[in-house]
Amino acid sequence: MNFAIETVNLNVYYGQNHVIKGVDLKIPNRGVFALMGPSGCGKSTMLRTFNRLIELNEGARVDGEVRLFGENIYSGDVDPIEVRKRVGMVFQYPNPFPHLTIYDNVAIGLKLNGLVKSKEELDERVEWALKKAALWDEVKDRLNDYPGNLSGGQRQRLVIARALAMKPEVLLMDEPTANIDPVGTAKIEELLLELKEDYTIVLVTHSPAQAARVADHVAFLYLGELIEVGPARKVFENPEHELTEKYVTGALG
Amino acid sequence: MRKLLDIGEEQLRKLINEMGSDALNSLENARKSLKGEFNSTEEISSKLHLLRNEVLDIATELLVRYSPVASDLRFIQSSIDVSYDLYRISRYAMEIERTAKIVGAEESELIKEGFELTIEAVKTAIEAFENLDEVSAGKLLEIDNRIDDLYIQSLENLKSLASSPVEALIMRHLERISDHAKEIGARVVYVKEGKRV
Repeated sequence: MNFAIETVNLNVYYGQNHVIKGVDLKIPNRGVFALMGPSGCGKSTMLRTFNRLIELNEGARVDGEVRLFGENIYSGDVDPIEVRKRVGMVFQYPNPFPHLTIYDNVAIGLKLNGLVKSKEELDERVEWALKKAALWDEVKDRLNDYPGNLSGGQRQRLVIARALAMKPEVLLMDEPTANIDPVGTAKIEELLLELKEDYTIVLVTHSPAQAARVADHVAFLYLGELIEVGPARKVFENPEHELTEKYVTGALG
Repeated sequence: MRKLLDIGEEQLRKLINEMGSDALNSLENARKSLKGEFNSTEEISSKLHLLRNEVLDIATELLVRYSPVASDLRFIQSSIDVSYDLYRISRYAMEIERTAKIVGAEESELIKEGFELTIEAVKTAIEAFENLDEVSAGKLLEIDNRIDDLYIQSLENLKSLASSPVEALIMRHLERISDHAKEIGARVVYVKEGKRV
C-alpha cells in the first residue's frame, strides 16, 4: 500500500530531552488521520517533522525517517522548502497576514513561487481555493478587505485556503479549532470531511470527541511513544491498550 | 465530567438491577399461574415498560452530554439492549400467565424442567450483567441449548399428540425468554471485551 506519510523509527530530541521515541507510523493516502494525546505527549512535535518545520527550532534533532509517498524527506538531497510546498500547514491560532487583503492572503504563495502565469489564472486559483475552503460565498464581495474584519472561524478558513492554493498533497493541522467558537468549529469539521476526498489531512487534537467526529484513523501518543493506532471506530469503540481506554474515557491523569 | 458520567452509569446500573429483579419475579409468578395462582405479571410488565423508557432517557442524555466512547459507550449501548431484553422477558411471562388463565395448564415434567432452566438462565444473566462477568455468558449458551432441546421435544409431543398443545405454547415462551437471557450474556462479553458474539 502506498502511504502518504510513513515514519520509520522516528526519534526527536530537544537538547537532552527525548520527546518522540522510536515511532513507526503509517498514514494512509486520503482521509483524516488524527494524532491525539494529552498536552506534552509530542503530537505537535511529530506533526512538525512531517514538513521539516521542526528544523526551525535550533535545539531540535531528528533521527529516523519520514517518508512522503515513499521518499525520505530527511535524506541529504531533499530541499525542505520543496517539502513544505507539498505539505501545507494550518496552526492553532489563525494567522493570516494582517497587512494583506483577503485576496492577497490566498495569492501570496502563488505569486512568490511563480506558480501562475497570468492575472486570470491567479484569480481563478484564488477563487478555487476560497471555494474549497468553504469561504468564497462569505468573502466574494469583499476580497479587498483585510482579514481583521473576519471572525476567528473565517480567518482559519482563510488560512486553509492559503494552504490549499499551493495545491499541497498533504495538509497538516495543529489543533485548528482550539481557538474557534462552536459554530466555526462545526464549519471547519464539515470542511475536513469535504477535503479528505482529495487530500491527506493529519489533524492534531487534544479532543478525543473531535477525533471521533472527523477522523478515519487515529493514533494515540503518550509521553512520546505511539501507544495505539487504528481505524477511528475500532479505537473509540474498543481500544486495545489500557492507556488509550483511560485517555478516551477521560480517566487518565 | 468523568464523575458526572459515572453518576449516570450508576443510575443505569440501578435501574437494570431493579428491572432484573422484577423480570425474575414475573417469571416465577408465571410458573405459579400453572397451579392456579394468578399474580400480577401484567402490572410488572407495565412497570418494566416505564423503567425501560427511563433507561432510554438516561442513556440518551449521557450520549448527548458526554459523547462517551470505549467501555463507557459499550456499557450505555448495552444497557439499552438489556433493558429491552428484560422487558420482553416480563412480556413472555405475562403471556404464560394469560395462557394459563384462559386455557388452563398443568406443570408437566417437560414444563417443570423448562421453568427451572429458564429461571436459572435469567438469574445467571442478571448477575452476569451486574458483575460484568463474561464467564457466565458461556453457561447461558449451554442452558439455552438445553431449553431449545426441550422446546423441540414439546413440538414432537405435539405432533404425536403425546401432550397438550398448551405445553408447546408455554415451552415456546420459555425458549424466547432463554434467548433474551442469552443475549444479555452476549452484551456482557461486548461490554468487557468489545467483541460482538
